[in-house]
Amino acid sequence: MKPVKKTIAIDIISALFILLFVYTATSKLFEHNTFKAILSASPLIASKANILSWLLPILELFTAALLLIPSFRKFGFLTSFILMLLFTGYVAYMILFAKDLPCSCGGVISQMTWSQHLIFNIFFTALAFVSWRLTIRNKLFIAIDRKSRTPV
Amino acid sequence: MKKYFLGIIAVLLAVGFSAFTNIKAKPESTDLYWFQISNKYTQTQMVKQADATFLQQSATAPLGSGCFTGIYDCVAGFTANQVNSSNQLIDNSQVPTSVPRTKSN
Repeated sequence: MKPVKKTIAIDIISALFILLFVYTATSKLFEHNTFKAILSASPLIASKANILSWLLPILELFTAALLLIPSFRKFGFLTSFILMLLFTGYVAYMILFAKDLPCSCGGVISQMTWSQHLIFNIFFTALAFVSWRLTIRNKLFIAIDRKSRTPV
Repeated sequence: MKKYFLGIIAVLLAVGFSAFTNIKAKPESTDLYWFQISNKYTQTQMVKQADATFLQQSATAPLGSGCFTGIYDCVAGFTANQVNSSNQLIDNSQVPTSVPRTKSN
């Protein structure tokens, strides 16, 4: 992929992740009591429901902030990948052991079935990983001012 | 500023969508499932299924019985996600969403 196209692709993908994380985080914060109650119902994380109900949206907003600032985007994609990997693992666990319980995800995403959610998460996990690799490789290409011979 | 443009648009869209979906969901979410709680549970403790007797589903809490003031749950409200189709708590690990009436013993 050409560097310019790569930069545009990274811009669009990071905007997509910002949209996803800010949307789910604000939905969780707007409906915090419901979110906490749903987390309490989950056999895996019930004991940590109170802490997680604050920690998860804060982590999502922090990741969105990293993605918003171009110089921190590499770390943003890495954090996105780790977060999405954890969420995917959680969804897989719920499908295997507690399919009847509701999803604790924010907004309209909670309307998805567990299987749809797993596919959605796998897609975004893969996208985060590819984007992270792209941002690392992007480092190999730097723009140089022709006259001054310095990076721009 | 140009390099932040897409990101800022994404943030604004996300907050807008989020506020919109939550406002739409509001009328349904105000109804809680109210239960009379036996035994001693503080507001942050998980209530056992056997200790919660279904009273009604409404936006406001019923009076319940034996409620005065104290630190233990007397009438507690749970969301639809915490209650099964037989109007029982789904398991023994549900924390009340609202505890408007308490008791001392």
